[in-house]
Amino acid sequence: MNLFQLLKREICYRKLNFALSLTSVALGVACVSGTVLMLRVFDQETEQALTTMAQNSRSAWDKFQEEMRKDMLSMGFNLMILHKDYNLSSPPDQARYLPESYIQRLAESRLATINHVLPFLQQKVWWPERKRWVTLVGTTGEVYVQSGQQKPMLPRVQKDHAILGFAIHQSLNVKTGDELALCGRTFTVQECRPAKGFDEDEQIWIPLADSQEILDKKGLITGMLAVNCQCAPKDLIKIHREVGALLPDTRVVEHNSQLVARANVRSKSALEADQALARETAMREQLKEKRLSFAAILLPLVAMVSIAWLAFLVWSNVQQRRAEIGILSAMGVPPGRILLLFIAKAVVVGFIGSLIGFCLGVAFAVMQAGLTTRMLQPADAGDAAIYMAAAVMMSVVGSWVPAMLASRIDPAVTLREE
Amino acid sequence: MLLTAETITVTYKSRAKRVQAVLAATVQLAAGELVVVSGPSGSGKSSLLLTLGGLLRPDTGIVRFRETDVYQLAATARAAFRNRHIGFVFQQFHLIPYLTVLENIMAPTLAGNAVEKSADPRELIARFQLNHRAEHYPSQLSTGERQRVALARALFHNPDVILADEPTGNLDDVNGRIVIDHLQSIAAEGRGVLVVTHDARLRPAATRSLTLIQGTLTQEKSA
Repeated sequence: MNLFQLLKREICYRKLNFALSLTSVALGVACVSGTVLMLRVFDQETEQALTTMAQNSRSAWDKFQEEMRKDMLSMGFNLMILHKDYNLSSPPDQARYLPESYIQRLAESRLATINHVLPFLQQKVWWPERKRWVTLVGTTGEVYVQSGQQKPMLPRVQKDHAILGFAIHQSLNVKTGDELALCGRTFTVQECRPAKGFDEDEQIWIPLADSQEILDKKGLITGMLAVNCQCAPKDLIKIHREVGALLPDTRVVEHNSQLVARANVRSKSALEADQALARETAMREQLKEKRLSFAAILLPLVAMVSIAWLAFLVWSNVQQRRAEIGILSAMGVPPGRILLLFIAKAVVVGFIGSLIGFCLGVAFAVMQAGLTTRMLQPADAGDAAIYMAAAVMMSVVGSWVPAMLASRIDPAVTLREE
Repeated sequence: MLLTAETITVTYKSRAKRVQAVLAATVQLAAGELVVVSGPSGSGKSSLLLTLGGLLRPDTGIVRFRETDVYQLAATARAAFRNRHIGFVFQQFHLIPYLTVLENIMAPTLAGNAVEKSADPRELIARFQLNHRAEHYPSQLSTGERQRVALARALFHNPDVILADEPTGNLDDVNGRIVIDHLQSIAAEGRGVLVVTHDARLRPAATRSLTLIQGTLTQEKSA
């Protein structure tokens, strides 16, 4: 017969007291571990939400940028590379042209400041079939300076096709798919453009090669429209320098006010997106702080209540066992071993209670906060060990005073009382 | 002489009053003696027994076991002394309710002292006719059986002295007689047995009888 056998038998005999003691420890540990795990879930959810928000912001920003670029484009081109002695408002007889080979040269240059260009040959011509003047624009479609993965900004004119400005197709009453005779050639209407309110409405776009033949400008172009520039206003000087070095006898015409407005809007939009994200992050941090503050009050309170409740249960157990303690003492069991009997029970209660409590805490976090096994980390095993050690300590602390009282029970008093 | 108490006085002090339970009592117990101390309730019998057993320090006087002054021993040493030399039997049996008969008999081993002279618990069970009850719990026993278990437990470490407080107080005539017979046989083995009781049935079995009235001890009969 030893103390641990006695302990085991006593636990089996006074099941209710043992169950209540376990409950006390288990609830304390469940509160602590559950709170910690729920805070973890909250942290991970916050991180995920912020990541999603950042992705959404980025996506929305990209979409916005795309739309803005197109809107800006309809207001006018960003940059235009022309012959140094020519501008688009010059009379036709003063027109100056660039060699078509400049397109290839620019494309191969990989200038970081320009994404894609639209080479064009433009001239006002007499349209004999319709007996009217019209601005003829020949284009190859966009030429990509960078990776070639950019989205097209402008419609590409297919071979033997023409794109008609709003005023043209309205006045001729033609629609997409109709045949159209132009300067002795026949084109199929590829697209009828919506109203823009400026010179594009009076233009007909055809493939560059056709326009070169019609205008007798073989191997020449009027200029190149540089669109979707990834540049801030301060970069324009650099673009001038780079383009000038690459393409002799050219100049870069920029619509400065539009460019600055565009850059400013983009900057402000990006700033607003960043600030929104920062606000959300700060709000989440604030919420976390509140939860931590609440936990900092709740957890010690729970621990104290658990210890007090456990102390009461041990004291109650001691009261029930006064006669037993008296006879053990009469039989020569020293006070230290009687103390050990109660402390050993406290260790058992702490150990088993903490295991149950940790499992309850995990279950609580799963049910209330959606904790998943993926969120559990190897460190949780360490945490569980800490909870166990703390629970055993808590149990011993709660049992200490009643156990001391038990060890000091005077058998002479107890045995006489009984 | 096994156990000697010399002019011991035990006083209970409370805020309101002082009660003198034992007054200058002197008692001796030799090996093989069955001493019965009788007296009415509240006469101080239990206090005398607990003092002799090293559980209640007297205000004055000395308790000796052979040459050892029991109350000069430190608490732990006195506990070990009780474990080795004294066996207690109480009116209320004080069996541990969640241990079987066999385990109750072996309960003195909980003290953790290495005692070489422990009896074989199975032999004790046989001696007290408890074979069929060895694995039973106290709640499953009759009162007579419970007291026999208490006697067996008191003998487990082969003590030199048995101190019994009203051992027949809760028993009918038949079971009382059985317990008295056992106490006699225990004394006959060479142990000192001191019984405090108000049960008149025990006095004829005693080698010596003492009377305790209001804390004062007088000798009545010597065998």
